[in-house]
Amino acid sequence: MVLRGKVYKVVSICILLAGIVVLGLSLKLPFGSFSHPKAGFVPTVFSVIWVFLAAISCVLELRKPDKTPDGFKDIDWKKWFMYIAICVVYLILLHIAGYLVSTFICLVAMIKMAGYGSLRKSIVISLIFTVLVYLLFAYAMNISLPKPFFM
Amino acid sequence: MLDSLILLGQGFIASLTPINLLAAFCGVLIGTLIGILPGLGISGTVAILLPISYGMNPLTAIVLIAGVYYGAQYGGAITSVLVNMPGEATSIVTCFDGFPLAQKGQGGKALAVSAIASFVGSIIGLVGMTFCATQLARIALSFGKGEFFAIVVFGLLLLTNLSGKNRLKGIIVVCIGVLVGCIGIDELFGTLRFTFGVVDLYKGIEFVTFIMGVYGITELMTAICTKEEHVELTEFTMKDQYPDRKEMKEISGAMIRGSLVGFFVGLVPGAGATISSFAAYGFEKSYSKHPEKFGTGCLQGVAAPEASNNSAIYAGMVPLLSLGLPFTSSMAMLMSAFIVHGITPGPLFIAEHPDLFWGLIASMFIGNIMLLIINLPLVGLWASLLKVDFSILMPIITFITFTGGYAINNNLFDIGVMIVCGILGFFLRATGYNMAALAVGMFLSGTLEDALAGTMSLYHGNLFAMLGDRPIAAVIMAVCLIVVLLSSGKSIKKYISAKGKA
Repeated sequence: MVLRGKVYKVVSICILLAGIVVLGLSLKLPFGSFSHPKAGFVPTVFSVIWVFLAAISCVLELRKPDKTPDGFKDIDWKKWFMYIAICVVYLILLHIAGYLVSTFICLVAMIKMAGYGSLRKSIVISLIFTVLVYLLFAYAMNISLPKPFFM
Repeated sequence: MLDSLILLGQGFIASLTPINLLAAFCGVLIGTLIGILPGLGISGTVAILLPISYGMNPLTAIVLIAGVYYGAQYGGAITSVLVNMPGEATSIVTCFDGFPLAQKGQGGKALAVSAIASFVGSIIGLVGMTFCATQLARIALSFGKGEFFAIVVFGLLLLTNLSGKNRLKGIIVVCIGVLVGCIGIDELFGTLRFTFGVVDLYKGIEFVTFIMGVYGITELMTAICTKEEHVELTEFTMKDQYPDRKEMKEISGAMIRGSLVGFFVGLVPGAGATISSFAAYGFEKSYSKHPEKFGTGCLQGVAAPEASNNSAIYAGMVPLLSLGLPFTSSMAMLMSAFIVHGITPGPLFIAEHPDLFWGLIASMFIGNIMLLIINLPLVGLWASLLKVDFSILMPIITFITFTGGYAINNNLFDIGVMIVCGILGFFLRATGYNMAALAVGMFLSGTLEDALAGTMSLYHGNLFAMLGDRPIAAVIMAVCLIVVLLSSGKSIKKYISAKGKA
């Protein structure tokens, strides 16, 4: 809860730190010269601008009082973490169980997480959707969707 | 002139095939749908549709995807009028008078005026776009890397100044976007950049995957995780609600003025349809003999912004089609659609692909007629879509997005990129970073690097020599300098006055 008020500050610090890391990586690339720029030229120029402006932005944000962003006021954070968790589990499951099984399981989980009441209807909707999308992509568009690891 | 009309005629012949008519219909239908449903944006939807269009011929695919853009403008107004909640940011202004009209029991009339004004704005915008794009493309044939560099800098600068609340954050995300675009093997020098030894990053991050993450997943995540709001739909009827002759006479001037303001404001890189609609509303209010009526339910207050935002959409296509430079995220997505189908918009596009250019223009005329037909009598059906259960719809769209993202390269790594981009987009957007600047910065990264490195090499590192040699580039850079000085002066003045108050 306390952290939510500091989001502006945390994000601006993270952006500054990321900029410093990217600048460090850019400096390792061959810069060339102004008359013969090489692969590191554009990354270095833009990461210098990034770090310089992010430092100003960071100072300005740190001097402001804590404030919760408007976009965060109505967010149900439990649902947010569950949404991310389902997405990550889906990505892992795709490698193991393939498209059909993992999409079906994760879609049921997400529909329930989003607050839909009936489990039976969630299962039926997920099953119909998964099969239809599989048929559309695999047969109509000829795209090879992930298969289970044993196939 | 006659040549253009003959080519337009050929465009109509190409567009009137059953498959292209179906594509235009599906595009405008999907566009209207996403315009109505808050939480689903144009860029995210096009990113999802793009893989589905792979098997189509280029004209059919472009007709389908372009249909989503102009269709969404029509749909956005429906929620503005009936729920006081714009489906798209471009329809915010329509709420000002549309919702009071609905509260007075004239919701049907407001929707009819909105659809007619959208149609008029689209037709005027289309005519303007056709003229400007063909002329600019002709001029742009003489452009070198210096001019392209100046135009990209100018566009990005205006984008950060006009479309976000915080200019500083806008420039930061442009830099982030440009650097994200640098990931992978550098096309000019063959050097690996920011790949960390990950083979999947050698090809760089796909723009469509990136957009699916920062727009699609971020929007879906926000829609699913936001505490439920009950949508109060205002009662309305279309019976006897079409504007009469007197009202049509009153709004016809507003529609034409709105369309012209929208088109000219829309031509400014980064201004987009939202700013155009505000400008048209302000202009109409100052022009009106009864400005006090604006905001209380005045038909001109609906007609002007709706004509304007539709007209601006086509103005935004001028730099895309004639220079190959998109200055809004949705235009960058449209350009991706062209590139995916092997076409590169730019000065030679109209000359080399007249069939595609004129086919697209003709399909837009047809699509707008379809929109007028499906919007006027079916508005009740569209409004009822607001009652669809989001707890089913949003998860389904999430998994379509993932499937579409995977289909681009048949690579599970891209789904991981989308999840990471979705989380980053969620925090950046909430804290006031301009997502359009991020997307356009990434898209133009390659063009910017090519133009900058090319100019530096050509003029031996002396940019002033380039400005002396290329007068058009010099003028554009001078305007950039004026914009920087004006915006910096404004910021410093604001800071000093805030400090004075403290």
